[in-house]
Amino acid sequence: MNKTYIILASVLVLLGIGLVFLKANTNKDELNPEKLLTEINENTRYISTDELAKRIIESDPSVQLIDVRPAKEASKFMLQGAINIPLADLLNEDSQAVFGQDGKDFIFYSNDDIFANQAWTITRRLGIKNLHVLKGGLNYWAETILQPVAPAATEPQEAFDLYQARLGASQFFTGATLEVKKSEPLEKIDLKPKTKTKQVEGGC
Amino acid sequence: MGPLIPLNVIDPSWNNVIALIVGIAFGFILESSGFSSSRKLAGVFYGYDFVVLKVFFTAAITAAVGLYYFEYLGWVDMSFVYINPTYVSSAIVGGVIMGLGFIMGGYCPGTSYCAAAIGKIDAIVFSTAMLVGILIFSEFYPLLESFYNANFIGNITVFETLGMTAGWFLLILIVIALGAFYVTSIIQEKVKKVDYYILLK
Repeated sequence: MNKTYIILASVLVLLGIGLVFLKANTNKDELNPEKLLTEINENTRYISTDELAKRIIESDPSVQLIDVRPAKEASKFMLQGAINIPLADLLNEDSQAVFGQDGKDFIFYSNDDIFANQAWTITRRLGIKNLHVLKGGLNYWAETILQPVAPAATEPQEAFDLYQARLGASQFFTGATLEVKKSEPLEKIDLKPKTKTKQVEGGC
Repeated sequence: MGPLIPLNVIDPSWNNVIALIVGIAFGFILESSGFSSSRKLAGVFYGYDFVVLKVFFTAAITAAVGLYYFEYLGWVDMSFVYINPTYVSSAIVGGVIMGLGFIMGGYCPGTSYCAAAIGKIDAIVFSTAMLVGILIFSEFYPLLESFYNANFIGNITVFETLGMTAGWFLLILIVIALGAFYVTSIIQEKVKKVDYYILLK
């Protein structure tokens, strides 16, 4: 038999044997560690509770909230439009399908930042883009949006504007009615019709 | 990184341009390997020429081995590679019809256009008949639709169905291919040789 055929055949068999023993490549497409570190330090991933509230109220279609708390906690309360992917299930195929959606801003939240930041790190390492973390998590959400505290009288105007916005958001999310102080009845003013004075005389 | 088009490395609008270039290259290689001869293709059936089997089987295993090494190196994500859906009934009937046409005409669809392009009359008749066949099938599609879609089992692969890894399956396939090459070369020696040039005179 032709020598070339034997050599080529053995090359193919060797390559085939190689494939059997190669372990499946599991950590492909991982984000470059230096880039990841820069992004972790940049803190640009955070989104404030006020900004999130505004986007939910405006029903921004690009918002995809992801609750990373365990399913038991999440079943009691989730933010509007959120889906629950517990941290342990983050790498499942079903969960990965969520991140395949184009044009979405994925916003992780948990009770505070910790779980959400872990979820951010894992998914960012997979090279997924448009990932955010709700700054302060649900605790800060409750503090600022659900039960906002009135600023002290000495605080600047911006604080009052923010408080007003938060009160509005609180109404939206909790259904609470805004308390409006009843003003005292106004003093009655006597209105007397003006008496006509003498017509202007003269002319040009 | 790959596959390049599904992952948008290359814009999908290039699809037709790439198809044209690949098609021309494929046709050129088919013609220059002598695949535009219906005798060469029918030779697989009669046992005097197994080049077709060797070429296509080698192409398949080389491509498969290459793809899985690419996947190992992270160049191709196999979960994005298109897998043809399997409709069992229509695959069997279609295979029988295709096989009959192949042996009667001496061409498969690709090689018939290849041979038609160099002016072979039988290939022109074959490819025209193929178009007529497509027309008939399309006209009778409403009647055939339920059969056409019957026994759909999804986008399955052989190794997943058999419950083995792709590596093992490929190794077995390589051994089968090499065995087939060896056996066919013995058959070819025993069957009386056909000299195309004598036949042409």
